[in-house]
Amino acid sequence: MVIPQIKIEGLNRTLWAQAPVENKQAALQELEAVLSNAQNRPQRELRTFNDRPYAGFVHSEYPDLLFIHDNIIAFKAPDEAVKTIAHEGRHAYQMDCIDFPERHVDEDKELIEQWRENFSPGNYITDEMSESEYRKQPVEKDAYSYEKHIHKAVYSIEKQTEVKMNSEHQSTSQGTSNIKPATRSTLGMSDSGIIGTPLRTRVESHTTGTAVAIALTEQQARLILASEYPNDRQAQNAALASMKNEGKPVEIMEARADLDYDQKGFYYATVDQADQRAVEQHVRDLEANAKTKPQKPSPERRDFEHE
Amino acid sequence: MSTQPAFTTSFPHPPSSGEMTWLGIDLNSFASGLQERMPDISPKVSMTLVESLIPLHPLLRPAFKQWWETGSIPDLGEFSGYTVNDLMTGAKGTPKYRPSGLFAMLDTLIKDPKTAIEQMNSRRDTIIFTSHR
Repeated sequence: MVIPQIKIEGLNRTLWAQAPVENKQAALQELEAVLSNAQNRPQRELRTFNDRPYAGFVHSEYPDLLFIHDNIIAFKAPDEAVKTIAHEGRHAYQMDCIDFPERHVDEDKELIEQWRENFSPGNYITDEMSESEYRKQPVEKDAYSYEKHIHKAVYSIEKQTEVKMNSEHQSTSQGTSNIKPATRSTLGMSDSGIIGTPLRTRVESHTTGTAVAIALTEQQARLILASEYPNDRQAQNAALASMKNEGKPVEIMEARADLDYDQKGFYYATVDQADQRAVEQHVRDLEANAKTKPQKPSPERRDFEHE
Repeated sequence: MSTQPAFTTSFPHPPSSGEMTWLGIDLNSFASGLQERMPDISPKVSMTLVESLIPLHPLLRPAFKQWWETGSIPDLGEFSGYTVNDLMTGAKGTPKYRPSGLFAMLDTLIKDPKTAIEQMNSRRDTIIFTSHR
């Protein structure tokens, strides 16, 4: 799997949030140009749709096109659109490997055979037939894996140049070589979270500026999602799961924040350094409110993603 | 129900349960019957779906049997806020599940509601085939 270097200005999260639809489409077309070139296949033209319940699709009658849902492009964050284009583009690549194997001599022949079999009549499993089997079949498993790599390539971050404690707390290390990994005990956190304990941060140098990753307890992460999806427990749970799998962009006090999880049990809200204090204060306010006003679950959910 | 050619593929090995019948249905008949009920799927996919349905929660088995025998699915009440009707019509923004997908989703809703809701909310795509590749 070849993961190209990707630098597309129009996919910058800040620019995207304010961009008109035409600019977003142009940025996504540029992404398809980069990916198709890396995959040694013809570039496909992007088309939007709004009459099917999918983020995107490829159609056997339109081998020159990739389809992406209007809503995905309209989102304030570009992440889902990037993943969708990478995903559908990967299907285009899989088909190209089957139809023009001479262009893809380095690709695993056994894998191509699996794709051919999966694309044979009646062998593609839709989500309506079985959610889990849809994701497990070879062409989807490969496309989901690919989109994850591309998403990372587009939004790669130079990791942890400094780990420090914010506000009144002191720096624990300087530079990348002396980073002391955060652990539950060093942070003094518990599963239930602790109100009043200073939030801790690590500073990361983004390609687009300086971002601060604020460490959160699970409870704090849940409170943020509860304010993002008020009275919608199902959406909150789905967002928490998404946060664990691939990160979740949200807005906190009009600041853009990426919520993620580091497998060591820590949650992070990565925000622009300028927004750090406002976001930390907001989290503390949420905690204070939660103490007095427990949230009521509701069966309602939202369609697609949030805006 | 459409008439299909004879079902020629058989299970290459007993499923993990070791049983070759499920709900009193021989697994090969089960797979061929599923293909009759879902004519757009291949024998291979039919077997995959059958295998995925074998661990179905006991609570759901009578309803599955009813669907298998009569074609209708009884109202089973709510599972984490979702009814059979919601899942078949997509009324709450879920996909419009076909019977195999419906029972699989109800099973996940009972056994692991968090994963079920995550699956229902996740981004998905499809590949549309209108001609033989």
